[in-house]
Amino acid sequence: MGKALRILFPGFIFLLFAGHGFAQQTEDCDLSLSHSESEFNAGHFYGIPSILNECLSTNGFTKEQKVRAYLLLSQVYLIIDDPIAAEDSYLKLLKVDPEYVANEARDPIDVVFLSKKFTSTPIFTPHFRAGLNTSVFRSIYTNSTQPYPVTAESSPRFGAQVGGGIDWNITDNISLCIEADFGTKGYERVRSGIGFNDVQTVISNQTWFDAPLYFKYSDNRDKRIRPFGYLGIAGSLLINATNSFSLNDSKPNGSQLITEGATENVSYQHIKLNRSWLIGGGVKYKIGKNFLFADLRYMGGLSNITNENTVYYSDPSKVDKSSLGNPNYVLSNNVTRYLYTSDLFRLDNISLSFGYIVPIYNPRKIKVAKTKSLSRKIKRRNNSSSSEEDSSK
Amino acid sequence: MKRIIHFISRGLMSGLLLLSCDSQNSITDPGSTHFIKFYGRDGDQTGVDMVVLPDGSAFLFGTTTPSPVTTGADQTSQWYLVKIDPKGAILGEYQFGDITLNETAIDIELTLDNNLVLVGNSYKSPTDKNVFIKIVSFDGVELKSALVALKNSSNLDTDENVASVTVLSDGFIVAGSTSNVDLKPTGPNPPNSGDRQDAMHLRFNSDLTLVGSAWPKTSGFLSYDAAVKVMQVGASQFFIFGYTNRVVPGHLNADYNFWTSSIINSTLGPNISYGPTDDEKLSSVAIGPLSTSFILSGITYNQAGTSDIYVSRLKRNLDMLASDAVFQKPLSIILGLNVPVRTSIFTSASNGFLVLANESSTTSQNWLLTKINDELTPSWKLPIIFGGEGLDNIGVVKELPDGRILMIGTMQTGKPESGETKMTLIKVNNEGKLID
Repeated sequence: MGKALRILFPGFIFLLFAGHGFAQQTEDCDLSLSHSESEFNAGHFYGIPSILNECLSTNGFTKEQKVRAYLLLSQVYLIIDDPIAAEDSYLKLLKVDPEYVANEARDPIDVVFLSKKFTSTPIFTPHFRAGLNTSVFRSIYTNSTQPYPVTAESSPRFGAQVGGGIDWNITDNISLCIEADFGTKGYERVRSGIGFNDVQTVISNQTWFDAPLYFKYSDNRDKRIRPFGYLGIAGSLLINATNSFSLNDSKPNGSQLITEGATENVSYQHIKLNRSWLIGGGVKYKIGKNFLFADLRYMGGLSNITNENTVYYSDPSKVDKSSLGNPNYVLSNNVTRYLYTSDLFRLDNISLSFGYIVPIYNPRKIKVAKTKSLSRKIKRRNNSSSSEEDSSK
Repeated sequence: MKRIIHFISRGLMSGLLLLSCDSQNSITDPGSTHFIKFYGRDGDQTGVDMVVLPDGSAFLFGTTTPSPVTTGADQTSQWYLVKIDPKGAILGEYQFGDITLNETAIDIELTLDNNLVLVGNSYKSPTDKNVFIKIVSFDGVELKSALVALKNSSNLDTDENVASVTVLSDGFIVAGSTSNVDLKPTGPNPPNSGDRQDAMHLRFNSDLTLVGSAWPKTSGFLSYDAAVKVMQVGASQFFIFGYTNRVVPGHLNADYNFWTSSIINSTLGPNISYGPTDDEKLSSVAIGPLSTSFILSGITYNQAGTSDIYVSRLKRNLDMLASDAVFQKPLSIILGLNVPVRTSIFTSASNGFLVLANESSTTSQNWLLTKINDELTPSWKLPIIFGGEGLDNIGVVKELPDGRILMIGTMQTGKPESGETKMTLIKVNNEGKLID
């Protein structure tokens, strides 16, 4: 006990003094920022950099104070005709707050002009996503073993997806995005009218790798919640597909004989590559420099994913090569046991994902300052104010 | 940078335009070129034969047996006729038979006046089958019907097994076998002499009345003799194709061999049986290319019980001599044990012959399809097997005008121990594959 106290007590004293010192420094820096602003208002520009320097170099300012300090320094350097130092101060400001946008209402016009020489828009913005999805079965041709009219219904089944992507921000609002996603997808297909009054059920579970490529438009105005939307294409690779079958034979006396079996791997009965168009949108919620997002996406399958050449047959790799007959053309169990052959179909997918965006901000000076629109705006404002003066005269 | 963006944008837009959607406009309906269809409602259905019409529609013939849980009067097996369109969809389903008796379907042929003649057996008892023949219209309307029960010299009912029907200009001939060994023109053999079964060739007029007594209804030896098919080769000349186990010259013991016989002017003509010392049982006869030969197929069983397809090519004008057989050989396809005496052979328009048989090389019995050339040697590297669990039985194979192959038979569906058998129709390409 005594030994523990001997160790803890000095630590406590150190923390107490350190905390007191930090509070003291913050108070001092707050005073120096206020003092600098007073000096600026009094027209004493040349002393301001030295007043702020200590707190900036010792990291004594809060983030908000740093922004104010660098903004003040930018103004000062512009006034004392040191544009290089002004630009350096503004660049440091953007490093502190990459999303800072100078505006005419709040900031001096020369700072607004200066800001147009810079951008902090990230070149690349990675994101990570995960969520749930459901698939929509789109039959191209019914491929039934039944000579009777058969009605088929699909029930939604839910899968999950996880992945990530990166946005290449072409402009402040438009980006080209590519993703790599893994997802489980599936559908349930119920066919009624098998053998006239029997019911066949197939539950398919598939694992896909999707690689969407799309253009995204994002509203990047300085708001906490920012909507976005996108349109593009996707290539997909089927990694695995399994089917569970059930055949419910309804007898005339009302009894039912159900044929079921182990889940069967039917990957070989599918075309592995799928193409899709995709459309989606959602909202981003700003947390610090990063974002949380929710994304609703529809992927419309463009490819038939049933392999016509193998849909009736067993997996050749699992057929005993020494048995009689051509091993590549042995009827599948799902044909003879469950009377099932897959339709030729496309598979659409609706997904809801939640994710996290980590913009890689890169404050930098741009080659051509975008000042035209600002100049036009100022010109318009000047014209309107002079005409007001004229009319008042 | 701008160039890259421009390039990517153009690529993406072009990609979107080029990414056509797979649809019915871009994909051919697979059901029009190949399919497998299972016919029949509740209960068990078999498929034994079919007639394909020039428009691609077809009539499938088999037997339907209600589910064991069925109650009421209709618990017997009936003939089952299905009319289908070229894609296999049902246009009509019909049942025929006496609901107090079991009937089994055997053969269907197109009549000269565009009706259908159906033949099979009607069961008075498991050991007393009779010959059942009907003529029905394309709409499934029964036009004529006859039931023939043969009686032996003791006026007792005998057991008849129907194998086929042949359409004549003035009627029909039903081939098969009968336990009635008293009817043959040579008269009955002594009792207990070992004469078990004679070939049956009943001739019917167009109205399904039996032709007068001059026509030999049966023929045979002191052995088991069975007719499989009768072919008319002249105004009053007929060849009978079958098998017999009479002792063939050169064979030490009685064994089954292919057998051909003839009826000329209603009189039995010369005959011959030939084959190796294993048991060869004929089950299908086809007319060869340009009608220059007869092609026979059957099963050969060796002493160990394993079986093979046995084929024979006979010249058209049979002299009933050993030299009639241009080729005769097993196909060296080991079919397994206990394979039924059932094959189907069909002359292909693209040379050679299609052969369908059963195989039981594994725990289940399946269909086996192969193609042989004019010298009766397999022209496909490997036969193609169709089937799944349980016992699957072949019916017949036919080649369609476009070269595709159509097969009918019976397959076990559902659970092997409690599932149902279904009449099964398979349409494949000219290589026997369920692909376009």
